[in-house]
Amino acid sequence: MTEGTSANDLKLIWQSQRREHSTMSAEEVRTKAEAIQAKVRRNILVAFVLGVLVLVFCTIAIAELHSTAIRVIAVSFIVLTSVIACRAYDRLWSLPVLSTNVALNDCLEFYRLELEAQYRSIAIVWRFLVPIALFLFLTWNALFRTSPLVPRLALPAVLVLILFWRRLAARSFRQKLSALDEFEKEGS
Amino acid sequence: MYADALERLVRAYELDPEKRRDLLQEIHLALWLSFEKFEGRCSLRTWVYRIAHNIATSHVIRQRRANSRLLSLEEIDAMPRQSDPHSADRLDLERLLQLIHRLNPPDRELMLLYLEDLDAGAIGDIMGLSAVNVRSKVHRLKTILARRFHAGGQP
Repeated sequence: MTEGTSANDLKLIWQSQRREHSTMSAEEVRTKAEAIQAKVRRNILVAFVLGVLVLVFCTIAIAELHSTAIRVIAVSFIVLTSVIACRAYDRLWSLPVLSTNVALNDCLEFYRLELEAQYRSIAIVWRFLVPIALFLFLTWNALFRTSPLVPRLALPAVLVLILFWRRLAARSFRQKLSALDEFEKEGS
Repeated sequence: MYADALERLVRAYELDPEKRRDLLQEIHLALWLSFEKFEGRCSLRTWVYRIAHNIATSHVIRQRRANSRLLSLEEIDAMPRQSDPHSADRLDLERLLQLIHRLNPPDRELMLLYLEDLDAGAIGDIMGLSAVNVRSKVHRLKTILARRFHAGGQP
C-alpha cells in the first residue's frame, strides 16, 4: 500500500464515523427549560426583595426624618416601588408550569420567551438598585454620621457601576436575542 | 450542516461519552453565540472549525491533569507495538481514535483538520500557520500516523 493511499484510507475511516448523538430529547429540553425558569424565578424574587427593602427604607425615612423634601421623595419612591413590586409578585406566580411534553419544535420560541423574561427580570432588579442608591445618596447625611464626602464620592460611583453593569447585562441579552433572530431567519 | 464533523471532532478530544456530550453542547453554544461576530472574512467552514477547535483545546487543557500525559507523533511512532487479535474493519476506527487521542493538542488539531479534508490554506487560517508550513507538517504527521496505523496489528 502506498503512503498516499494509506493517508486516504485514514481519511475514509475517519469520515465514515456514524453520529452517536441524535437531536436533544424532549426530556432534555424540558430539563434545560426548567433550569432557565428557575433562574427567572430567582431574579424576580431578588427584585421583589429589593422592592421590599426600598419600602422599608422609605418608611423609616418618613418616620424618622422631619424634612418635607425627603418625605416627598420617600413617598414617591414608595408609590413607584409598590407598582414594580406588585408586578414582580404577579410575575413570580404567573410563570407557566412546563408540561411534560415540551416539543422540540417549540424550543426556539420557548427560548426566545425565556430570554425576554430574563431580560425583563434583570431590568427590574436594576430599576430597584438605582432608586436605592439615589435614596441613600439623598438621605445619607441624615441617616448616618460619616464624613459628607462619603456619599458624595461613594454613592455616585456605585450608581455609575450599577448603570454600567446594567448596560452589560442588557447588551448580552440583546446579543442573544439578535443571534436567535438570525438563526430563525436562516432556518426559514 | 457541520454536525457530523463536530461529532467526529469531539470524539477525538474526549473519550468519556458524558463529557463528550457536554463538550459538543459547549461547542454548539459557542458557535451559536459567536455567529453574530462572523464577518465573512473567512469561509463559514473555517469559522466553525476554528471555534470548535478552540473550545475543544480549552477542554483538553482543563482535563489534562486528570488524563494521562499526551504524546507527540514521534513518541507514538516509537511506542512498542501491540498485537490486535481482532481484524474487523470497525476496529480500524478505534485504532485511529486511539492514536489521535494520544496526540498533543496542536498535532491533534492539525491531523483532525487534515482528516476532515480541509486544504492547507484553510488549516493555516484556522491554526494561524502559513500554508507552506501546514503542508510540511501535514506531510510529516500523516506519514507517521499512517505508518503507525498500518503497523498496529503487527507484533
